[in-house]
Amino acid sequence: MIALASLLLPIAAGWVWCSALRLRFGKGLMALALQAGLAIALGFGVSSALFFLLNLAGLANVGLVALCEMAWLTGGVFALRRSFPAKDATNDGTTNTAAQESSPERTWKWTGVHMASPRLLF
Amino acid sequence: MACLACAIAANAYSAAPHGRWDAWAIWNLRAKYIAGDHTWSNAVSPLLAQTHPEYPLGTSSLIARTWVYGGRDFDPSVPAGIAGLYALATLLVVIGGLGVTRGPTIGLLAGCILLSAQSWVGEVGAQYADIPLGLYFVSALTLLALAFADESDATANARHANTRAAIQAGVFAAFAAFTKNEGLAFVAALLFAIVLAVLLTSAGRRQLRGFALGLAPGLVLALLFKVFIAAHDPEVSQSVGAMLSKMGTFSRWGSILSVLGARLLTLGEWYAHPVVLAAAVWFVFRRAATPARNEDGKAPFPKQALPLWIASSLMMAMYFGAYLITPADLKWQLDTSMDRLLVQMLPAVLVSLLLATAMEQTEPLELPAAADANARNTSTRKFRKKAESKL
Repeated sequence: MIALASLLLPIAAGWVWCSALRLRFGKGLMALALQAGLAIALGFGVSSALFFLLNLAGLANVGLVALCEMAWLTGGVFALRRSFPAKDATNDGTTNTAAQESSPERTWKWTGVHMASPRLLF
Repeated sequence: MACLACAIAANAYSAAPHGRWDAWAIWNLRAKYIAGDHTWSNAVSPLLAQTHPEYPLGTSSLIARTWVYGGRDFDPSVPAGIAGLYALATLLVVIGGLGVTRGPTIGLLAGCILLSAQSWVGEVGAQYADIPLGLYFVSALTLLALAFADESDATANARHANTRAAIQAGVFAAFAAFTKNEGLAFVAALLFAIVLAVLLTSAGRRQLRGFALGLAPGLVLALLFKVFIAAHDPEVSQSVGAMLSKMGTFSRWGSILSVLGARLLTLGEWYAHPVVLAAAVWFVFRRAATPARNEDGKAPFPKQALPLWIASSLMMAMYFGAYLITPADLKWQLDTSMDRLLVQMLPAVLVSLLLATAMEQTEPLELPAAADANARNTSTRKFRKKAESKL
């Protein structure tokens, strides 16, 4: 079970990176389904390539693999934060920030696809 | 249907927890070598001549990585769980991709069609690499469809979003190349399709650059593996003369076509056959849901679907060509692989086909001059709801 649970790490990283890329999925359950599918695909793809490279370098122990995957996830969180800056002091929350204007289909009001949005993370 | 599919997969796992032939002879075996202590080079040893040591290590690496997390206990539930997650992701991408681009009705119908394919559902329990490969195919094509979305009324940020979709499409195409040899053919087909679409529509150069950017790192990794690490591929060791001779043998053409027809027929029962269902959905929604038609009464072909159609057709042609020149016994090759090739291509062909069921926006949107992009999207949604209510 621990082994299978570890797959949540690349899936989470895939989700965060998919969010950070700000693709025009729109909103709703269909967008949520697409993002979930792409998150799994991206997560598994990057994770397998990472493990292959670590193997080539002779560094494929569980500690280093976990460290690299955590770094990848953290990088995604920072990329996401950069894509969607947190609410600034001049905004009262009722209107869109500049970042939301730049990505109109991904407002904060709907929390489905945007569960990993920086507004909720930070 | 999803519950039934889960039951079928669970039944397959209980009957054969280590998967079917290729799973334990190729993918899981190599994963064990990779996960072992300094034994990974055995996974590409030429001594495994009968089990394709030249295949890329994408799927096996992920299984090995997960076994390493579990303390190298080589639990058979790991490859089975990974196969299930790959299948789930494929289903989600098909439903979500078509749902986002053509509306939830088409998306959900596409999901039902995919689950109606016995071969596809059965392959999940087999733990082969064809489901992961199919996932990367359909993900790349879906993102390409998003990248080629109509930009006529798009803001600069929306155009950048399309470029980012093309980059991610390139990343998934590279993952396909790192999963199976067919992935390299897919990369070539996709590149050709995008270039052709750019030439035909004189748009999409930005998407082409984005795709190449996303493709490059993963493709370099896949090519480095093929050139410096993998064992020699027997298919490329044939002389050109031998290949031409096989291509000129028309009995081979007939054999391939007859097996293809037979395998297509056995994709499902006649009343729930994925090809019949897809054709029915395409026919109904192409005719009924298109709000505007050309002067000759025909529904306009959505440009978004063009690169997908070209890539899918090219892939099928490449598979046909690979069968023609295969150095192995043709009958054996067809009997053991045709089902799996159809499984690889089914989600991608489904998305490519149903993307042409145009619920596209053809009426001009009446926006106030200073309307922000949110208002534009609200109008788009209203239009979509209006179009859907007409069905």
